[in-house]
Order: sequence, then structure tokens, then C-alpha cells
Amino acid sequence: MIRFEAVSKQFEDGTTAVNALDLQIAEGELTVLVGPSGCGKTTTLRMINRLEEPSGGRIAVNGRDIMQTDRIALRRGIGYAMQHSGLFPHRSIRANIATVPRLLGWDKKRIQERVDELVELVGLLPEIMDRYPHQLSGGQQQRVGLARALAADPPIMLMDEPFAAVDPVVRGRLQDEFMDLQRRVGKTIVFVTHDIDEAIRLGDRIAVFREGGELAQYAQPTELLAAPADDFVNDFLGPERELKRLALIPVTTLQPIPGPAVTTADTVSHAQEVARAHDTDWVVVLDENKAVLGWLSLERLGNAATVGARKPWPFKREVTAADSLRAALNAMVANDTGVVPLLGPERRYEGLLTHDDLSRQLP
Amino acid sequence: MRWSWIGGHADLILAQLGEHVQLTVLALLFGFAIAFPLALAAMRWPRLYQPSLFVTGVLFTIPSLALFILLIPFTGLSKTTSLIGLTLYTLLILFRNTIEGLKGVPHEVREAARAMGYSRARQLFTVELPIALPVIMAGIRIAAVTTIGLVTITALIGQGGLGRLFITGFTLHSPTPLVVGFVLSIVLAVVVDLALVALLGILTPWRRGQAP
Repeated sequence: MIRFEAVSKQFEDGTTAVNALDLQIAEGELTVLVGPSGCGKTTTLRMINRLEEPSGGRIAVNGRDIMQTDRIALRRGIGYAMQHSGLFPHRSIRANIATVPRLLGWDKKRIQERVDELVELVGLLPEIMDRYPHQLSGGQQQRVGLARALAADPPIMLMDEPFAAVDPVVRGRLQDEFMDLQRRVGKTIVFVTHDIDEAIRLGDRIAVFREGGELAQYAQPTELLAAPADDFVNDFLGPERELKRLALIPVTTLQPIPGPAVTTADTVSHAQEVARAHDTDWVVVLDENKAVLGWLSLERLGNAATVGARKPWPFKREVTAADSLRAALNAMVANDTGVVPLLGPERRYEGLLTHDDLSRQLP
Repeated sequence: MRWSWIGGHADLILAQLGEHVQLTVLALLFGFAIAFPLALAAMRWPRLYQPSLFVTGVLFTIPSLALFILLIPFTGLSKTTSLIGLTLYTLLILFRNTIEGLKGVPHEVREAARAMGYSRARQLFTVELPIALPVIMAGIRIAAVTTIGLVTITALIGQGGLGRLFITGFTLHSPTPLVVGFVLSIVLAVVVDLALVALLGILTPWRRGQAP
């Protein structure tokens, strides 16, 4: 655990980067420091491994005051990844990754094994190992930077906008892989970004900083989006705050309604009754195994004998338990019926999600 | 041109060439031994930078012949005199290029090294200097080529390597020794320069395929 107690940092030119900061960073969590430029988020990060020394207050890592810890030993025990990968241009990829183990004096065999392990962990190809950084793409360089930060298996990782310098497509992929990786390794990560969407996407907990190095709010992403502490946080979260929040909430938090569902074997008069009971002019059509086939309007059913006599229209969008409420809302907008069916395994019908339920049951 | 003169004086020519190489190498070694620590100190304490640049710059502007003559009362017409002079002329270029090379190390590389837990000395010698090497080597090349030219001047104080062939040619009213000295000192400069480029290539394998 990392604990800031009344930490402040003034630079020599008199600017206050961080002002009386109290912050507790929980073990095994990914904590994002986010805010506009000049808000002190990067300085806060850099004080943890003493790249900057605090002007006042106390920072403790696992209960130990970092000012009482040898600077070099402290840094070797904390992983560090940065925006422009910061790879050593004169060393091969292999040697770059091996940097901290070599500083720690590991033997050759152990380093070799660890490097091979890391290459796989961060999704690099073994054949690039003997190349130099300038021969790699930006995305690959960031992966190498991440592998280098992880090399000595440090319990704590500091990451300073590690995905900011790559293009949006690569960034999205790196973020996904990074979340996967974090699920496996469970490090205590402090992550700096100016991108609120990245913060929401990655963070277990988000610390929003404002100019002058003050903490505006410290909360889990869903809490932050549901109840911003003040106008500054609200503005920083942007105009689509509710949509961003929906993206974090799984579909399973909503209770689906049974909806006007009929099977192909049912008679049309039964379908008309079901539709009337649900106050609609359409029905969801299922096969004999309750798998969703699509939907039909009463008009199209007309005077057919059974529901199966007409070919149902497919839903343009459907959702499963793995989707977010944002995906559900998107599906409602896309479907002509204004609702979305929730599908179980083998497309089994679990019920319908409606716009009313979404608004009413939203936690 | 009298080719027979060359055949008859091969030993002398070789001896002068050897002396020329010796003076050049020693001047560069001494120059580097002074300029390099000075550059490191100026990087560590930036206040030293301007005064160091000023002093090495002033030394560089002193007319070479005047400098040697100024030294004669102290060190006589000796190899020491010529070495002191030659060394002083290398300082500005070696100092400035070492500084520029170190300043050219990308900020993020320096930061990464600090954050990984390098000690200051280890960071300097294993990260910053290798990256600064191409610029430092560019300085060594210029210093080497200028020194090779300057060595000939020291012939006037009784040293001079190939420069002595100029004096011989002048006294004998014969162009042959002059031409031999002239050609050899140019060839020496070119060979040394190419050798330094090759050495840099060997020392910086990561730059292969990039512009020098």
C-alpha cells in the first residue's frame, strides 16, 4: 500500500505542484491519477520512487517512509513505464528488458528465462529480441517498455501515460491487453493519464486532480460518474457522463421483463392475446427450444394459422450477459421495437430489456 | 621531383612519419584526459560550463606559432613544448563535443535510467556515454585532423614530424622533400579519419543502417 500524508511539492521557481495531498493507494488495485495538465498528477507519481522529493509531508510504501529508504534500492523495487517508452537506443530489446534484473545482479540463466517469459506475457514475437528499439513500431516499443518495467516482478508499478504516444487503434488494443495482464499479475499500479476515458476504462479507483495540485475527488469509476463531487469534476468527466457510466455497468444488473414472447407453434390468435396483454402490436418469436428467431408485427401475422407461417424479422442488435448497459442502450436505439432481447447460451431467450427499465433500475 | 631522394631517405621519412603519429596520438590523449573530465564536471555543475568554454576558446584563438614561442622560455625547444601547444588546441573541440554529445542524450532515456535505479556513475558510463559517443567521436575526428596539420608547424621549434621535411626541402631548394611531407601528412589525416569512423562503427553496432 502507498500512503500520502499531507504531501506537498513546491518547485524552485515557486510553483506549487502538489498541495497537502492525502491519498491511500490500495494494494493490488489499479489507481489512476487524472486531471488537466499542470495539476500535479505526474509529480505525485514521480514522488513515489523519489524522482522528485516531496517538500513536505510523508510518503510511505508498505508502511516504510520512502525518505528513509535508499533511493536506488527503492527505484529498483518499483516498476516504471513512461510515455515515450524511454528504451535505451543502444541496447537490444533483450538487453532493454533485462535492465533491472541486471542491476540487481541476477545470474545470466535466470535473466534469460525471465526475459523469455516476459516476451510472451506482453505479446511480443521472440524474433525481435535481438533488434534495437528504433527498428520497432511505437506499439511494440510500448510493449517492450512494459516488459522492462515488469522484469524484476516488482509489487508496485508506476506508469506515466504509457499509451499516450501511440495511435488510437493500437492504444485500444494495448489497453485491453494491459487489463488482461493486470488481471493475471495483480500488481499495485499507479497510472497517470490526462484522458478521462482511459481512466474510466482502466481504473479500479480514480483520483481526479485540479490545477494547483489538489485532489478534487477520489472514488471508484462508477461512483465518480454517478456523483461528481463538484462542477470541476463534472466538467472534467464531460457531457456524456451517464453514457460513460452505462459502459461500466453489466447488463446483468437489470432484471429483464418476460415480454410478448411466442413460439412458432403458437396460434396467431394466441399471439394477438399475448401482444395485447403487453400493450404492444408485435411479438418476439422463439423456436421450440426457446431460442430467439426474431420478431413479427400483428399486421404481418394477419390471418395466418400459426406464428410459424410467417418468417420473423431478426433483431438488429441483441445483448448477452457479457455486455454493458451502454451496449444495451445502443441496441434499443437500433431495434425497430425499441427494446432488446437478452440472450443466454445457445441464443436462449432470457427476456427483454426496455428503456423504461434501464432508467428506472439504474443503480 | 627526384624519386632517388625518396629511396635514399626512406629511413628518415619513416622516422618523421613515426614522430608525427606519436605527437598526434599523445596530444589527443592528453587533450582528452583534460577535456573529458572537464566536460563531465561542467555537466554536473553547469556553472563551470561558460568559464571552461571561454578558456578553451581563447586558447584555440592564440596563433599557433606565437603560442610555441611563448612556451620556449619555459620548456625550451623540446617535445614538451610542442606537446603542450598541440594539446591546448584540442581542448575546445573535445570539450564542446563531449558536452554536446551528453546533452543530446534524450531526456526520456535519462529519466528511464534514473527510474530503473541506476547510480549516477553507472548511468553516465553505461547509458549516457555510449549514446553520446557518435558526437564525441566527431570531435575526436576533427581534433585528430587539425592536430595532424598543426604538428608540421612545430618543425619551426625543432620538432614537427613530417613538417621537418618542409624545412629540409626549403634549405635544399628541392621540392621533393616538400611534396613527400605534404602528401604523407594528407594521407595520414585521411587514414586516421577513416580509422576513427570505422572504430565508431564497431563501438556502436546499434547505429548500423542509419546515417553516420
